[in-house]
Amino acid sequence: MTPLPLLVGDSNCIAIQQANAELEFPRVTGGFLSSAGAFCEPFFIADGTSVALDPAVFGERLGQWRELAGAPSTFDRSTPKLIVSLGTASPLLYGNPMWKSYSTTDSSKAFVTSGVLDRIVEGLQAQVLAFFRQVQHHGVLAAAVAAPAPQARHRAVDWLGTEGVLDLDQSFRDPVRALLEDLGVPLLGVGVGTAPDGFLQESFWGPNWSHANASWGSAVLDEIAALGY
Amino acid sequence: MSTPYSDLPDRSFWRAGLAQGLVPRDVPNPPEIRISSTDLIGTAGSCFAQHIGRALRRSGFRLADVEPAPPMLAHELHSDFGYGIYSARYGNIYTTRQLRQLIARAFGKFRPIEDAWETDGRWFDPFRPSIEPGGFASRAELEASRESHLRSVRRLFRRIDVLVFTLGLTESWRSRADGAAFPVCPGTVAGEFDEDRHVLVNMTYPEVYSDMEWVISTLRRRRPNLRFVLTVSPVPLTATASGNHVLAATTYSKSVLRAVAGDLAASFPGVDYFPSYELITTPSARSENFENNLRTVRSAAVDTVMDAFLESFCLDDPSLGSRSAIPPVQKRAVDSFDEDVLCDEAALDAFK
Repeated sequence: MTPLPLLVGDSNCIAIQQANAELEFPRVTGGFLSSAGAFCEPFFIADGTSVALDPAVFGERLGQWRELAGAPSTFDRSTPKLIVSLGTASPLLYGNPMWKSYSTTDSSKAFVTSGVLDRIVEGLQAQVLAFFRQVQHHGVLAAAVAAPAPQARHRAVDWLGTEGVLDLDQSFRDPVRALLEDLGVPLLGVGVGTAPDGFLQESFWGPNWSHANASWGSAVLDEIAALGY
Repeated sequence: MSTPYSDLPDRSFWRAGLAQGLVPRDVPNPPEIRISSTDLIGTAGSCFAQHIGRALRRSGFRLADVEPAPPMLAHELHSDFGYGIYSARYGNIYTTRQLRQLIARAFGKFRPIEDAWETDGRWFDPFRPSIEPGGFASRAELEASRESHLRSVRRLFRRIDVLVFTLGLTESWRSRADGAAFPVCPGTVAGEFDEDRHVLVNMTYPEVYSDMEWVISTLRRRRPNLRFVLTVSPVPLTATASGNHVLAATTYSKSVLRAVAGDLAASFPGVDYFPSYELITTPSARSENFENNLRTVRSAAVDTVMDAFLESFCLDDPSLGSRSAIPPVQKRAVDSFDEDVLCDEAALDAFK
């Protein structure tokens, strides 16, 4: 019997875990490892045969994740396939308070050019992109999960406007989306719960303005199930 | 018999004041102005001004930065995009005409005709061609950045208490259409040179003096107590288009700038000249103040200049430390950052 895939990544895993816990037959193991910001710094160790989550970065959380997953935190061809939720949690970008005084569109604020924005995103995504390349190279990446769309209630809407938030959301996700496409790795959850205006439908809002609820997680689980693992 | 030379100090004599050992702190005249830890300082000028700004910042001076880098941009990328080099993202201001023009543009008094360069779909600001590596994505982006920048420059000149300006060059490339001064020759860093549209002006003493007189009076209409510290960059010209040998061209340029700076200090209250040019080029250093290219100023020499600057302008403010007062870790970070001095004019070297 094929082992359940291992879910690993940022806090968007929590909604998936919640939905998974309600199922009679779980569809994944593992789940939340650390908040998205932790993955902007080096967080894994790769050698010729495996990729390991760095214990020095995650500390006790790594032990908790291992217990949850019932699996090691070093991945190679012998371990279950990974479902990775990383690199699309865009509140990391648009939710930064710097956007109170900076803008990519409004020249009455300190103007941020597309060149500067690209460097910012590159800096935030460099480690995640490297991780995706490594786990794919080692044959353990099954799919990635896209974070839910931004919520219209997020405070960043006051700073940036709706268009500004959605633009930054796309800018943040684009490098990951492009890489996964290059690698031929499916990106799940795209558009789940997203209203025509580009924001997350209120019925999918989670406990705060950055996270979705278990209904969103359930829809993602359906897509994971469809992968056949 | 007593003469006017009889009671002069050692600093008045070449042999005693220089040949037998130069004491850098003796070189500046007693300044008219003082700079305290509460004064907000603006910096601008040619490449050498970058050294001055950094040294002032790490010595505890309150340096204005009206266009700080976005907090999410990695520190090592700041200077690539012109952040943190000067008090605003205006890049190097080599000539007095550039400074005058910047102020005029910021306050809506001048709008250059040739205001954007396009190369292979990327857009460059002719007045700060290196500010966006690879160029702006569109003309609209360039204009939005410029609008934001000029608003910041207005704010800068309305707030600062002291402007430290380093005069760099007299050779200035201009637009024939309206006299707009470019920091570098079009076609060297960006844009395209066209002799029908662009012309070299090697500024004379009266032109340089007039520009600075305009700058001082214009800024003081908004900040009546604004003080000025003028310095002249000791960095020689990378290249000259004047037809003269580059040594003669450098000497002309520095002579004019030095003479204007000295005369302004003598003529205007609240304007001082600080002799960074002399401290670096002094024969007593036997060219040791320069790297092997005889152009780049060694960091130890910059330190000597800045020590003299601190002693000169802030002796009565104990909160302003010397460079050596910086904690070791912070100093290392600052020193390594200091290795990079961004100089558009150095791009001319590529043409030989």
